Amino acid sequence: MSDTIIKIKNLRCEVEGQEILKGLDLEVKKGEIHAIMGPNGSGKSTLSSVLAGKEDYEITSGTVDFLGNDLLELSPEERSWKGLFLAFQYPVEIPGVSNVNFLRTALNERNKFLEKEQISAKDFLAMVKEKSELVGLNNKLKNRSVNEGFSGGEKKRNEIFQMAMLEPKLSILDETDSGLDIDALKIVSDGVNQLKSSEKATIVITHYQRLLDYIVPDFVHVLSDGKIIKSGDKNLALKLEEKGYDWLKTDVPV
Amino acid sequence: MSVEIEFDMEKEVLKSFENLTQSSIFPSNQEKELEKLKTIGFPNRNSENWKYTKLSKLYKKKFTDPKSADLKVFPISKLPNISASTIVLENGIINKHLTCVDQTDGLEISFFSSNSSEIESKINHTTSKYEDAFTCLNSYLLNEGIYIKVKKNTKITQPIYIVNVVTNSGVAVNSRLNLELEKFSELTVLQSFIGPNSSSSFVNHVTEAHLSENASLHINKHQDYKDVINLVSEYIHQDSNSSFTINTFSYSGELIRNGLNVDVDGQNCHTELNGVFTVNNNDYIDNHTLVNHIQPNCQSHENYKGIIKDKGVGVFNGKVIVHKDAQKIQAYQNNNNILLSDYSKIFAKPELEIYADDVKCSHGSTTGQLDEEALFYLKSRGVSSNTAKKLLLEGFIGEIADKISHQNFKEYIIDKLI
Repeated sequence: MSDTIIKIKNLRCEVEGQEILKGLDLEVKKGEIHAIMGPNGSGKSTLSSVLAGKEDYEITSGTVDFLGNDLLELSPEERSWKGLFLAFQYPVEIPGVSNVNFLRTALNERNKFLEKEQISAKDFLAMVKEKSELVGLNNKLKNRSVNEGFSGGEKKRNEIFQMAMLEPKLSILDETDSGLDIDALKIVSDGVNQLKSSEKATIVITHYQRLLDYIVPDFVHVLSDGKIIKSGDKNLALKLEEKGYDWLKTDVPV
Repeated sequence: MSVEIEFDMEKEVLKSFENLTQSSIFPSNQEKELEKLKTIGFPNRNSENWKYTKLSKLYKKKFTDPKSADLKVFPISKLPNISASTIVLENGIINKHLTCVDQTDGLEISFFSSNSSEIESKINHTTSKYEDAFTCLNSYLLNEGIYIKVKKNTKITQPIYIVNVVTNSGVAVNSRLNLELEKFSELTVLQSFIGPNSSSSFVNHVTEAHLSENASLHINKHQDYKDVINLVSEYIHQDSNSSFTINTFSYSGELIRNGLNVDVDGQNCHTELNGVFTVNNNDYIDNHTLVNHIQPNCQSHENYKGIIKDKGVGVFNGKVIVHKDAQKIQAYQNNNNILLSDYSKIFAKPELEIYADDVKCSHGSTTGQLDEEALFYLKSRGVSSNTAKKLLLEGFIGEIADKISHQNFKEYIIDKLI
């Protein structure tokens, strides 16, 4: 079996006639952590939204293969069932919908899709206990409405908690470090690192090098104007931190 | 000229009911009620309070007397599993097989038909000042009523479940519920208006409740008819220190109109009106509420949530009147609506009429669609589209469903939501 989890080829997309991604290529293999960095407006969040299946974007060309599936043909829920997870930059508050109840529904719908057994209440609660400890999610928050009244840090912990519960093959963390203080950043990163496995992969989207001190990437890519303009190892991130993005723009690669 | 036209209208409308005049359990009253009805006149689209209501749906039909129709006995399996005293009114007639009333000290339950001479004097005390044509029509054609009295200091812990079921097509049912709560008494009533095979019928129901000092009444009401015109008029009178709560869940019916009137005529009262209405197909559901704060130092809370689908039309018209001497009133009114299609409609009219100068009142109404961001969030975690919508709608009405203290009834209500 192939080691590739996701392979994006020449992906182009637009919103209201304006092209945002302009021919993006990326391949992520099992066990790898990729960081995507780039200035504001380079298309980082668009990439994560397109991969998760948000409908506001029109794909004009390109292919995305996810574990042998044509990802772009799948609904957002099917992408989740097949093992894709997006941790939102701005997790949505959903009043009246209980955090754990909705997760149980999500797990059971996935199991139904995969023709697996429904998860028992006992196993589910044990899993909730284990995974919430992993990210230090307060007990009270698990039973509250999804993200309602959570602080910025609690929302991000809740994202990683849900990621742990759903056990995805590919996790995309969209600016997970934004709005986090150092302590929260450390806890969230620890959670991500503990979930790392040789069978799974992670794409970390971030502005700053800071997060990459905690989640150490195998590859760093620079996204600018809808394309990846440079790739390297973790040292590329350090160089970016030192010199800013502008040095790349003069040093245009082929 | 106009007088003549209006008189004709009364005559025309009454033709819809001419087969029913024999069924009244108060025949001696009929002449008087008919005169009153003619004086008040049936509302039409020019009547401010009825301007959205397509009463032509009612006026065009002709109904039969349920007593002369074939009775199809309602299957009990369709009812929620509630261990409580249950009274089933089937097509306006007490169904003795399904009715089971626990005898409790301090609780008196009787049916109008078995005690009509005594009960006649106990009804319509709260209704007359409202001059409502359909309440008069109800008195004129009344099939059956239930009278419940809770005696002083009696707290009835088990709810009383009253089912108004229609199993026939094309019948008209005029029913009543009269509740008399003496001082320091407590009662919970669950009410279902249901009928899965009840097309083209008309159910005109009147509830009257009198709460004496320190009494507490809690009503949970569920309306789920198929193609029925269901008018419910409620008249509540509160004496001081009493507490009244009603939660209304209106799910389906060709035309539903709830006219809820509360006279808060004592100090330190608590009044709470909550509702959920879901409108499908071409249906129409209308909630008209009126809270009359006559005395000072009271609180009222109102919260209604509407979910309108397809070509449905919903109406929320909530009015609070604070009378001149009713100082220190706190009255809050809230209404939120979700429109699920491009053709669905809501008419929302929260109203405050304040004549006192030291009060705290607020009202608000919002109308929107399901939150797309929230839907995407849930789907991205593996919740399918339909389930995600259901979760969001359950969340939307959750704070109102939580007001139902009876767990089985609450589950039944949530289960029936979408």
